[in-house]
Amino acid sequence: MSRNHVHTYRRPASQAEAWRLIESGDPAVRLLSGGTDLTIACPPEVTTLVDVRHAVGSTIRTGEDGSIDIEAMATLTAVAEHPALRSHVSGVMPDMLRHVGGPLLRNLCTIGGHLARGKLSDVIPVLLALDADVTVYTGGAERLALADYYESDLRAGPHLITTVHLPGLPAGSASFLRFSRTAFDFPIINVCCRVDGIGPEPTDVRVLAGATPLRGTRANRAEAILRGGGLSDQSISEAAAAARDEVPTRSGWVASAEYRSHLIGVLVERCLRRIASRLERG
Amino acid sequence: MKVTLIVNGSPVETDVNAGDTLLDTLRRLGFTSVKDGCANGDCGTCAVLVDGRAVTSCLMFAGQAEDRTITTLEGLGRAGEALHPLQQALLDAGGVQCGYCIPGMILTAADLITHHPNPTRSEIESYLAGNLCRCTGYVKQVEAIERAAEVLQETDHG
Amino acid sequence: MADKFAVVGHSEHRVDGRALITGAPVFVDDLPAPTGMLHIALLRSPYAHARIRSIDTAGAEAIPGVALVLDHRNTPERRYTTAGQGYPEPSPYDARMFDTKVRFVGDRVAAVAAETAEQASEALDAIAVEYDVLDPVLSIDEAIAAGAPVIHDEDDSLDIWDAERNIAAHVVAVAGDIRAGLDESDVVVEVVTETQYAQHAPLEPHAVTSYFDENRRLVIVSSTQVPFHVRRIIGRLLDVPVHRIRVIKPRIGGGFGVKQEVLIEDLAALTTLRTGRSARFVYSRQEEFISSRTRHPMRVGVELGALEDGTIHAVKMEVLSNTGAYGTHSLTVLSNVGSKTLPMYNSADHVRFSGDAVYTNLPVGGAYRGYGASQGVFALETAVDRLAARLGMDALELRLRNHIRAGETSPVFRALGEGREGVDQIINSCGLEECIRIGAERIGWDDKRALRHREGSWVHGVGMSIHMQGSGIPLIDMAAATIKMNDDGSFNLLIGATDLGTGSDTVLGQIAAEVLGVPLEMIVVTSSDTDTTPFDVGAYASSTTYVSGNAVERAALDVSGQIMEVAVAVLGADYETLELEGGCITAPDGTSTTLADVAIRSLYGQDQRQIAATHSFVPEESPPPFLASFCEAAVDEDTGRVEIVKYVAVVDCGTAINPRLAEGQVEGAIANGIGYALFEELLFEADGRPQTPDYGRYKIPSALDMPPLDVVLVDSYEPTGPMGAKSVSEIGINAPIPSIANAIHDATGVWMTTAPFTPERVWRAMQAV
Repeated sequence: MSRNHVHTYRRPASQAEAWRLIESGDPAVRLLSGGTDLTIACPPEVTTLVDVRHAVGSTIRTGEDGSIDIEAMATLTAVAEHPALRSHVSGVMPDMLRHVGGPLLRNLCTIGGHLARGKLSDVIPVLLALDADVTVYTGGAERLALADYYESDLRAGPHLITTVHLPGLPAGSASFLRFSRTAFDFPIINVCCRVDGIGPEPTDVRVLAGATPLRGTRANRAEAILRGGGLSDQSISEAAAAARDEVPTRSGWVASAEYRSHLIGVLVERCLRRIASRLERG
Repeated sequence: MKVTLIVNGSPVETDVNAGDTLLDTLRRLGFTSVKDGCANGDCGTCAVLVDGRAVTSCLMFAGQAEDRTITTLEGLGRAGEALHPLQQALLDAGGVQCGYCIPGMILTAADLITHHPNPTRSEIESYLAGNLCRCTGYVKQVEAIERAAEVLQETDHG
Repeated sequence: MADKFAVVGHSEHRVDGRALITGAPVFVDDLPAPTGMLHIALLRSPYAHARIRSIDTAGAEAIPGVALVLDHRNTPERRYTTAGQGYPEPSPYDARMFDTKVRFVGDRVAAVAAETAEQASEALDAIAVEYDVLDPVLSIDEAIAAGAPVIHDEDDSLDIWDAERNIAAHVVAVAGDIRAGLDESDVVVEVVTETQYAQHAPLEPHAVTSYFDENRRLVIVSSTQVPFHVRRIIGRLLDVPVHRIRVIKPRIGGGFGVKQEVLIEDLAALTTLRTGRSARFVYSRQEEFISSRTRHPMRVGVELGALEDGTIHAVKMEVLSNTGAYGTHSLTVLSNVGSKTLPMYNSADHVRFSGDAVYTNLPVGGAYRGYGASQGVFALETAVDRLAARLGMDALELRLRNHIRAGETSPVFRALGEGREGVDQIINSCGLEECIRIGAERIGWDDKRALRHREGSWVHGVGMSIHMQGSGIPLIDMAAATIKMNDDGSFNLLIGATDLGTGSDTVLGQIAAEVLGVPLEMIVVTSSDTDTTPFDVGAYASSTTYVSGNAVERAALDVSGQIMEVAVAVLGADYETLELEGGCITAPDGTSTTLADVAIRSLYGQDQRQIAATHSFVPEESPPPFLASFCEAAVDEDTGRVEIVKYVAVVDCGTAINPRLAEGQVEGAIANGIGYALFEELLFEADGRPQTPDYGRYKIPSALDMPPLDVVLVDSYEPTGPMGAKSVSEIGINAPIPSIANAIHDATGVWMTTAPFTPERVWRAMQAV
């Protein structure tokens, strides 16, 4: 493989040192975390790799309030295996990660690198459904909602994701489903739903559909229906139909827009029914 | 640039280009059991153990492997003639046809058994998701790994 | 079975197992690179159809480290075929090493040989090409439309059926009177099926090294299925006498037909000839998907006529095959669509087979396991299910009523060969009925068929299909084997036969061991070296066990005869009374001599000679293996996803020389067939550029995609086969598409006629009902 245009490899020992290497925004300088993107798709202008293995941590820590902080160099395997994630909101994170890429990729991909790449992801819709924040370093640390990170100008310039934060959430349940051609394949679409509150009326809901568009779209009308109607059969059916109609999809070689939309409706319904039956069981 | 890799227990210092992958480097160093099936992270024939975890070495830069413990198939098992239980089980079960997927598959299976000593058939299949084989249909390979896991439990192999 | 034989019928360990299981450097790209080896890179066309107006390689040649740049101006102009077939190859001679025209995205434009891969890559970028872009032809329908661009408009190609109409090959074969046959039928069903572009995707891509040995003979070490064809074709193409070329096949990482082709050896060989240096070329994965060979996509129409009592009376099959930009294997694959499917229903006196292989500006179809049967059986076996539905008969009963049996023949055998008239044959062995009964019981046919059992949104169905293939190409294929004896009573077995990972070295070794009365470890197998092993056509047409195996058996019988003669001299007993077993020859009076003693005596002692023999075998018939395939599928009515709940394949391959290896062949073939049925598909942009040239986008089955798979080998014996064996390696791949299609219909009432049966296709088909 010809990556001969890359001639410099730096290993900063701290976030500050890493920042100094990238702050100019020179497109020839790229951050390297897991490596799974740059090894196979290294743009010709890239000459310098900044390996942040020693600059950014990889620990996973829990807070008293049920929050979880995941440092950006944690591999997806580390996230999937951590006990705190297994008991966080129905263990939806490890449940989703079981389907992501296979162990060879999970052992290498870092959560920070994955979020920085920000496309065709099973992880992002789940993090969005869990109201995740990220801390981003640009000379100083700034914490913002993951959803805002993707909308912000921050993303276009040089920055270092250092931590992913999952806030403590009220008791409830979440469910993730994806649809792909084969078992080891990128998602055609995926869906994550979260319901707070264990009673008949949810105190809050999230309905996210991802993979098309590329990150994860909130189905606001679906959420509104659920907030109003709870998790009754009818409410679930209506919410699923709303999600199907409101989330924009595109046709591509792997599936048409019409089929993707149809799948969104099916998966939202299935996620919600699964949550409903879990909550009924208490 | 110079990097020091610890391959199969021995430190190896070598010159690499900054853009070289671990796969490129290992093959150049003569560890030809590590195969280049796609150079795209899709097929698993390049899998090696890094600090005990199976990774696709075509997706790692050589620099990322500095000072990390790397195991290739050449380094698996005991010294001398004896085969590792995974190797023996695959031979016995008929899980080897052309053999090209085998090094990566064995190392992935070694990772599995280390971290999940009692894998179910379903866990084995899941774990092998990223190791493609076009010859066998995986049937005898999964059987072999089940058998090897049992043997390793019995003998408490290192 | 195992009790009849001492070695054959036993699942011996592979003779090459240790090397493979320890990751020893045995594949082409693992072998030590000779000093100064050049790396080859290929410039490929970005256009589906264009003329090369000009090409300027000066910039590339000036790059330090670049030793050679090749293009149409400095390479042989002669037309040839890349098909690894016997001479004269039954494929059009429509290819040039480098042409002045490019005919698909990925077609050859130029090649560079340089000291490093990086320099070669840099040199490619420095080659300036001007193209006159032409309108591309991107489908069968476009190819045959009036006024379509002519893809092969050159005047020096040979054996193209009708270049003006983009038809590479054309076949018609007739038995009886199809019109009368269909008219006489009480019921006629029709179906048209379409199959997709699929690719073999072997884990090891094409790879070749070439060099001059110390006597300046050209040595080619290639990942090939056909070393002897490579030698001949390279010799003719590059004007090198055969005796100055040696071709060696080391271990190879899968072939499945894609390596039955002289695909890249010419580039390495010419580089060595011109520069005097060794050269290596390993295809990238992308090149393997785009610029090697593929399955021929096909449209197959079947009309099936039957009498009220279920007797199939007439079969018409019409084929349009997309052979891509060049016609390698176009005629022979086309012929096999019928020749390996239609004889199954020999109750039909009236058969008409016709087909055209058409050129398109798309990747090149070649040999792929199944070789036309895979596409034909989709139409035929789903037609049989439709017929059963129309007649109100059980589809299993209908097949039992009609399938060919031992002692029978079919007019199709003679009418349709591999691109020419075929060879009459009578079926000597057919365990198909037993296969069907066992399979039906294991899948639960009677309980589950038409039941449409539901679980949530999933509805279940069962489907079946029956299959035959062949064992080599009668009167055309030839294999030879040499056996020689060593001091310790062991033997060298030298065979041209090509082990692709299939285990043929082991299987053929077992045959020799059985005849010679020794354990397998006493047979040292050397294969696929044109200098040291006798001729073999190579691994294709499911020929190795049957054709090469027969040659081995003959050689072994000859050698054992020679051993007996020495034993007669030693023991003083009559020839007929001696028994050769367990490494010993024993006389009736109990005296014996060991093979080692015989060897020592014949090498050093008395009447010294090398005990050895070489024998050849040309098959007079091609005894088909048979397979009954059953599958239980569940269809998710909400999404169209098809899950295989259980798959059963019951096989008659005659004697299974090595049952575990035979099972492995069927398991691997079924896995590949499942991918072909459910998700494998090469897709293209509107301008002919490939969209899926990697394993990420072209999905082959992973361990997680495999259903519970039950493979059963039935007891059978083919009298013309070595130890009763027939072939086994291809037949399994044909089964999943029709079995799954029939199961989907059983579950949902929907007939799938376009493969692969992706969730969206199935969902849309269900919506349309």
